[in-house]
Amino acid sequence: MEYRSIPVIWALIELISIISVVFLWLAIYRGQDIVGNYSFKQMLLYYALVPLIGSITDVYVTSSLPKMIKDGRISADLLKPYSLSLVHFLKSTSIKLAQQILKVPIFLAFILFIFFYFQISLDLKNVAIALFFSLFAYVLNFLMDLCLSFAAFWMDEVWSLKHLKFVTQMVFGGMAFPLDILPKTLKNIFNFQPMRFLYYFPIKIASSGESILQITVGFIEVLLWIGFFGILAAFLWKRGIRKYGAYGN
Amino acid sequence: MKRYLKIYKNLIKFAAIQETTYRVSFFLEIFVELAYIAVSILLVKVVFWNIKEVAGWNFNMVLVLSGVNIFFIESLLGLVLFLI
Repeated sequence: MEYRSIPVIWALIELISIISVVFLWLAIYRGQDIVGNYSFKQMLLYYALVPLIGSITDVYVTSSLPKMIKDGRISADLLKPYSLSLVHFLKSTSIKLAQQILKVPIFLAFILFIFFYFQISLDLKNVAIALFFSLFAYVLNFLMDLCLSFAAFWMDEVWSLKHLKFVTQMVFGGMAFPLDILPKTLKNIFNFQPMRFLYYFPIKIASSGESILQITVGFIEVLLWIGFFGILAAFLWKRGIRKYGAYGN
Repeated sequence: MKRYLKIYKNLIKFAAIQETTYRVSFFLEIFVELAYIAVSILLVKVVFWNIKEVAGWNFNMVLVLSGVNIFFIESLLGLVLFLI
């Protein structure tokens, strides 16, 4: 909360990019009523929910931890009786909570405006389930980010990791477009990867696009992926710390 | 003039050496750049998988527009940033 303007500016940047996407889809829907099983209102609802769900599931460990590993700044932490991963998880969570106070009112105002202007309604029960699911997606995203950050033990320069993650999240997470407008073959492939739980799946729950069975299966899948990335992160940490060296820190 | 050109030549040489010092990172950077381009093409393709044209623009026309946009952002902006 020290630099209050930064999260507000980021929230505004996100909104501006979403507004430009809305204009693009307005042009697309001028010629037809349905695009890939989505009406204009459904598409609008999807993009309106992207920043809200993203404000819960987004993680930025790759912005700091790889550089800390490279600069040898984790040496002091290694001597202390706590887990570095847990410290970063708590740090990331507390930053997120502080940012939510500033970001969420902006997103909610935007969503409410869209809903009233285009007369869109949402089932609050589904929204609650989606928000609850997003908490699990946040843990999953944190663990994926952690695994990517640990690559810094074997790499010389690490800034590209952050960008690589952003690109994959944009496409595979459903941040850029709903994954179910893809052709069937691609859709089936995309259904077998964990990033879809970061945006696409929670948004589908909120917009009543998933059945109880699909939500239950989604919960089981996300827990399995959390387990997988948890084990992978522990393995990478164990191997990486053996390779780690810092001098003069 | 000749002297300045020589300085610029050396600056380009040193920048290239600096960029390629860490080989894995260098190739990863190239991969990330290519991924950005692939994503922007995929975004266009996703739209045109579902419809034939947008406001009179077909896939090929939008692809050319995206290509020009990528060229201007990647090349010219990069050059401007390099010069300043």
